[in-house]
Amino acid sequence: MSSNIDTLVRMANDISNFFNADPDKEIAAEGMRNHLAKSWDVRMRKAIIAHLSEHNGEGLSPLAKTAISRITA
Amino acid sequence: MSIDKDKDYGTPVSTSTEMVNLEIDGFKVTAPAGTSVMRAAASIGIEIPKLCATDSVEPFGSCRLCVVQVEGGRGLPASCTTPIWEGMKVITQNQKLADVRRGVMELYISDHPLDCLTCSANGDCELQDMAGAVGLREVRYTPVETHLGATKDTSNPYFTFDPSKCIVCSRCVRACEETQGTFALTIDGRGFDSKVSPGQNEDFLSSECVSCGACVQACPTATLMEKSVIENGQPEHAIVTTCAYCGVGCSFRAEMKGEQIIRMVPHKDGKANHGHSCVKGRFAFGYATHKDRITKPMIRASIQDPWKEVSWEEAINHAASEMKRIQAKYGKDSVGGATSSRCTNEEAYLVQKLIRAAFGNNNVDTCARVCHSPTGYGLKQTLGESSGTQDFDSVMKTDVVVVVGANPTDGHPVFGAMMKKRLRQGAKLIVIDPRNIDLVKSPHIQSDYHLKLRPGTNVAVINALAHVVVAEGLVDEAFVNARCDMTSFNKWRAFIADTRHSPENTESITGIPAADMRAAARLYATGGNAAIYYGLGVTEHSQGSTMVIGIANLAMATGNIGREGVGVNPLRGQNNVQGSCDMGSFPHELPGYRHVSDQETHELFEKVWNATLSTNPGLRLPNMFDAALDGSYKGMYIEGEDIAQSDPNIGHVHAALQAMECVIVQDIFLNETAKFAHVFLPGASFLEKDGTFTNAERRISPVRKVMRPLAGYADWEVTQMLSNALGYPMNYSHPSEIMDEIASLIPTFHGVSYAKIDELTSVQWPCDEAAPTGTPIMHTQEFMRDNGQGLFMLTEYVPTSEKITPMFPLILTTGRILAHYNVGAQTRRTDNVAWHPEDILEIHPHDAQDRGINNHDKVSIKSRVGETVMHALITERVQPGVVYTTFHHPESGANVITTDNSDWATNCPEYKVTAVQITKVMQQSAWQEEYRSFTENQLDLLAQAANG
Repeated sequence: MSSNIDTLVRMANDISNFFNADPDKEIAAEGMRNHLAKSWDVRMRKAIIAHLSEHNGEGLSPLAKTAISRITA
Repeated sequence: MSIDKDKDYGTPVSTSTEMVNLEIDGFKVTAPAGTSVMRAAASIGIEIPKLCATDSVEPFGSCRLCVVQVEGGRGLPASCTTPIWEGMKVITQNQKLADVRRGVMELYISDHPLDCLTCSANGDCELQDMAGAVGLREVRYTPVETHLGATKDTSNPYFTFDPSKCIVCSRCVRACEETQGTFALTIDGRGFDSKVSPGQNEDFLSSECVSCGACVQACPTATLMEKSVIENGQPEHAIVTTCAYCGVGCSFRAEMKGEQIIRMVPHKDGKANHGHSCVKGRFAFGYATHKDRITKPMIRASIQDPWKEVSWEEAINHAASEMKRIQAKYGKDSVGGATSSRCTNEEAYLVQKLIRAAFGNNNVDTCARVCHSPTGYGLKQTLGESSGTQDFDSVMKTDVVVVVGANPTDGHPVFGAMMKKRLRQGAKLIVIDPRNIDLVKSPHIQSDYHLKLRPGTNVAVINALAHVVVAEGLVDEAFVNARCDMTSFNKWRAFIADTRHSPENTESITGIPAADMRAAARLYATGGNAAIYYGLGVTEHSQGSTMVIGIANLAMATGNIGREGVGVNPLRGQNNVQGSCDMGSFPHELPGYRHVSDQETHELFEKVWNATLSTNPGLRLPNMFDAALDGSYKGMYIEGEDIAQSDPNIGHVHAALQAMECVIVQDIFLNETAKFAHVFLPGASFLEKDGTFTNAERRISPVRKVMRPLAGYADWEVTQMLSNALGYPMNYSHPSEIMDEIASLIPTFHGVSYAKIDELTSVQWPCDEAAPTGTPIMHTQEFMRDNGQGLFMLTEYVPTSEKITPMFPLILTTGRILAHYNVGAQTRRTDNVAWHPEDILEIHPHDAQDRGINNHDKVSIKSRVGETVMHALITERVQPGVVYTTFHHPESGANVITTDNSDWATNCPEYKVTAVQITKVMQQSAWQEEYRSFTENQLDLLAQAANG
């Protein structure tokens, strides 16, 4: 999925922009985690998890990083 | 089967609950107050002769044929304009009345051609019927002057206007005004010179007429007559079915001669359309038998190869073996498919079942991905169900109509006509749209507020409206307290009260004057029953889901939900968007909108389907394209969908399709996607199969076969054959059995069956034990969330990343037009091209002048992802800085320019915001040249199949 990582990063940041509206950042992170778990295909989750671990989540928002750190592939 | 016509009661039904007792010809009658004598008589089978009366329009009292005598009354009143009263005694037949009627008919016939035997209306002419009814045997008059030599207007592609046969009853004029609300027709002149005139003495095609057919339907003679009837004669039987165009889901009588359609006539008992129609459903059915229909299965190894016609068995076995080969080589998740909103519920259900059970993954998606997927998400989250809350009739109880990002008079014309009727009755109107859509100002309609926002700022607008509601104390506290989740509401109230959302602070973002925003918010919150109707101008944005949530928040905060006249109403684009979503076409949800990982649901489906199902969400359409280019997605089964034209950034889509090893397309034409296919399975039009469609108001309506499938099989049968070849058995003998399975699996469908649909003519889900005849209005007692409470969610405005720059200084927004439907594959193959032969770029005079552009000039539209060329139309319908086009013609390449930006929650593309530059050019774009060459090559490869 490497060639699509930019797309996945953009998608993750767009999602985090929505959940980030919640002043309680724990609720925001959990909301985003749940959204990713329920709507992203396994290969997409694997790719974004790998991007977080191998490239320190370059380009991802802080909330996106937190949420992605909580999902499994 | 027979041609039995819908009964005409002469005047509209009265909705009064007060009942009146009277006597007609000695028979006792009870009818609602306000009923005409004519209708009361018809209700007990007494047919009073009539010509100018028909029950689709208000009575007029001009022909004098329907006169009656009333005991104790003076003269001979017209029964159509005389209301009944308690104790009334009416005589409809005696010698005096017969003499009057015969005299009236004699005058009519003295100026009417006596060519009944060769007239196209022979056998279906009310004038002929009435001449017989009154016993006319001779005409004593020898007129000095007649209209018999009047010139026939044949300009409209679908019907003719023959003034020599016109009796000036004004039924057409009144139908145009009352039913359609276009006011295109008038009676020109006075006395003997009176004549029906479209516009200012224009021909029909050049006039304001929208060809809805209401005038043709109302005409009692052959004056307004379908050309198909003139050409083929009168139909001999009729079958009631449902239109396959937009999400209104109009009911039609397909009037037939054997297996040939003579005409489609809107069905009076249709609960979505009440006997009305638009130019597409009424007339544009010719595509079904167009010469471009492909009726033989075809295969080829690569898209550079000629197609080869093969047997059904060979095509199905080849398709199945290719999919199995790909899965064996690249893994179970390397294939998937797409259902279509143009197919029936039963077909969508079977395709997703095949993918989940036979392919063994959840890689199924549907065209709702690119239109109303944010509706599914946003309304499910807030209200608890992925659907609109009302029936269409609800609008007739609405006091404040809010139209957001929708153009009902073009996109949903029959509902648009109903909405216009309510607006003419005095309902207020708020339009939120960047363009001057027709509703903003049309005959006898003027919007109270047109919030002409900048494209891409929807969420800032809905937040500003909500801010006013909260800041000015307009919240319906009782409703919110009783019906909503208070924790979420209190959080939302604090969020939205922040002054960053105020109209004054968002004015620079939205472009809407703060005073207008405040006034509109007050009107919505305090003007009585307020209903929001929205379309793709809401959903097709990077914040599409946020906007849907914002709409639901606003409706709940003001208590505008859960009863007639209010609600949240997504206007679905295609005929079965609601249904295809209900049927489990999304990759994360099984039928009935239940997540694939939900244990109870998963176990239920595994048991009933006898299959091992994945609990992982599958790929969405745009993810499939990305995965194809990445090499992990290699095969696809696409039924009735044209992703190579309808999806954004089609250069990307084309590359993805070319990267796949097996693309199976099931369609009635070699559509744009089929040009990239390796297997073509010929589909059946909606006229060739049984099934159901579910419209925008959750109404499940029957689709009935009126002719045999041209290729031999209905689409559900083809899917079944493919599934069996893949090794997953399906053995349905009729779509009713598929619906029975659906009803057993989806709780909100538990009460649905073909028998129920036939009995009720249609039924709105939820239809279950608690609501055995369906549910017109949802959330009346509690919301459909687990705890029964409506959920408020926070909706921060996040500007789109698609920015205007000096290089791309204008915003392109795309949409649709009345004459065409979606990618145009159907309507382009009808005479509807007379109105819209090509996609046009609308540009404001200021922007055109800056660029030296004149009307009809060729202009380049260039975005960050592509370039195409169209002709320009200079118009103030668009605001400065905004340009607009449609996407009905593939060679226009509207989606060459749209980008990959998409809704955060659902990946619904941001069709409505693309930064572009417009320049005057002399030739087509490089993409268009490539497209022309590619298409010519593909058509040549198709021709080789037919020749081989």
